[in-house]
Amino acid sequence: MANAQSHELMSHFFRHDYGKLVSRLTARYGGNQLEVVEDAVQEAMLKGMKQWSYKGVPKNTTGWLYTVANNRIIDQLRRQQKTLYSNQIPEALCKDHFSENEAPFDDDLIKMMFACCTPAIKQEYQIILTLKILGGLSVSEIAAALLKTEQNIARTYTRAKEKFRNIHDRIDFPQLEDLTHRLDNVLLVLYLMFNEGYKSSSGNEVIKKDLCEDAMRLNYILLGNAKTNTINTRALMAIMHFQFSRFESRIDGLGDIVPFETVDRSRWDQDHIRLGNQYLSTLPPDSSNRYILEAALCGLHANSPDYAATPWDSILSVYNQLIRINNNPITQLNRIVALSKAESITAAWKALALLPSAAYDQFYLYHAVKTDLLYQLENYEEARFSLAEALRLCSNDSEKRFLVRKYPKLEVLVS
Amino acid sequence: MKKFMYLFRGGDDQYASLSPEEMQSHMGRWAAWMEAISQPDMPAEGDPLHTDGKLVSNGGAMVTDGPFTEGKEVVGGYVVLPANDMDHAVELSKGCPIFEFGGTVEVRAIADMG
Repeated sequence: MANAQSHELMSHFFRHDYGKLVSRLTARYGGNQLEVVEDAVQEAMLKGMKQWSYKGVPKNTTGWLYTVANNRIIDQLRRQQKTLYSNQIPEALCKDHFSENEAPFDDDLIKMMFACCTPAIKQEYQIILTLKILGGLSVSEIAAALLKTEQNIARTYTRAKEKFRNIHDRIDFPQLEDLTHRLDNVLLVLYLMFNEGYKSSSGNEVIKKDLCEDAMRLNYILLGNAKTNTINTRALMAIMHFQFSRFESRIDGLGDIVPFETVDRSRWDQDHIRLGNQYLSTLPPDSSNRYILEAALCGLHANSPDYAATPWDSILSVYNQLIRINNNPITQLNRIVALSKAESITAAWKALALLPSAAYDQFYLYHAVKTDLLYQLENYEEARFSLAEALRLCSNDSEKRFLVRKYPKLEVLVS
Repeated sequence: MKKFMYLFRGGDDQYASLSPEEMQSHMGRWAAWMEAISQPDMPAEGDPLHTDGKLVSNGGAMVTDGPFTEGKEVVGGYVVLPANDMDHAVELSKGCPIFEFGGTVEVRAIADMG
């Protein structure tokens, strides 16, 4: 702890250890002991924090925390069993040898990911369980990241934990036939977790970057296991690396959103782009796979030296494939933007007019795209009306400011 | 340089509600502060204390559980450090991360018995 480098080295180990330890101990004592396990790990960390503040960090922190938490659980279970007058705890559970080797944790973490992302519980629960247990985030951090109130998250987490307890008495690796389906779920949760962190909406920027990094870290653990290293896992990894390379460049020094057109691409992290390309190159061409198509899209942007060089034709053709398999408003609207660049504003405007406005009216992005096209068609009167709608539906201040600045001729002020 | 002792009290309730991340950054600040108040030839050193203890009085005739009923009263840890004088020791204590969580630092000069 004597220099800045060691401060750097220990960065985040508490949070990462939290997920590891809760996973390992829950795998050991059963999903119905999740609460006891969480308390024990929290307490071990509290003890560690106090002790290490004075004494410096021990060499094997995870082992230290594991031993303290494990002893605490055994105490706790003994006490419970005394009150219940039930059987003794099997000796085997009390004895434990702990190795310094990190690798065995990975399997526990994978098991825990699968346990949290079970289709038997609502997706909202899956995300919160994953963030809390595997990401090691506090309730208030989750609230800040998901833009919900703390009470809301606390309540949801209690309910999610209850469900979790009822479903899992054991935390197991899913059977092979179940694996593919369950893995999709896990990947979706990691994808959403990453997006929550990546969204340029409000929330604590530091926490949000951590969310992205945690999602990547968990995805890397999946890549490390032959059973979970699949095409989709690699495609998701490519997406994450490409997106993450742009993380810092999206916001300027004043905290305002930088338009994609004018982003300083020298601020893009080339290491992440290189890794994205590496994963992308391992993927087969498959126009029916959402992750592969999205990875391809991200790659096309990330590898363009400047905005003018963007290969809009290729991007449009990927969007055309994407809406065939994943036809949702967001994909449709993004496709229309690509269409306006690849073909013409008029073509894009025609495509927009074909969208069922009733289904799109509530989307902020719909009005934003509409504004943009009308503005380019120099129909300022209607553009002004669209912009007002977009601003009404947009909940984020920096995005509102962004829109207003983008269309100076409309002379709309943020209310 | 003379030796001084800091006695830390309080903050425990709030510690218990920290997230792993917050614990970590708190610990980092603690380590940085310990470093800042150290001298090359005399590092600041200390220990946390367990909350339970005994109070021995009347030459051992009376042993009680101690005045540890309220969290605020408990000395949670101590640090021995070098400082020029009391003012200097007080000044150095101001960076202590315990203040983030409502704890206090008692500064005492250690009497030189040599």
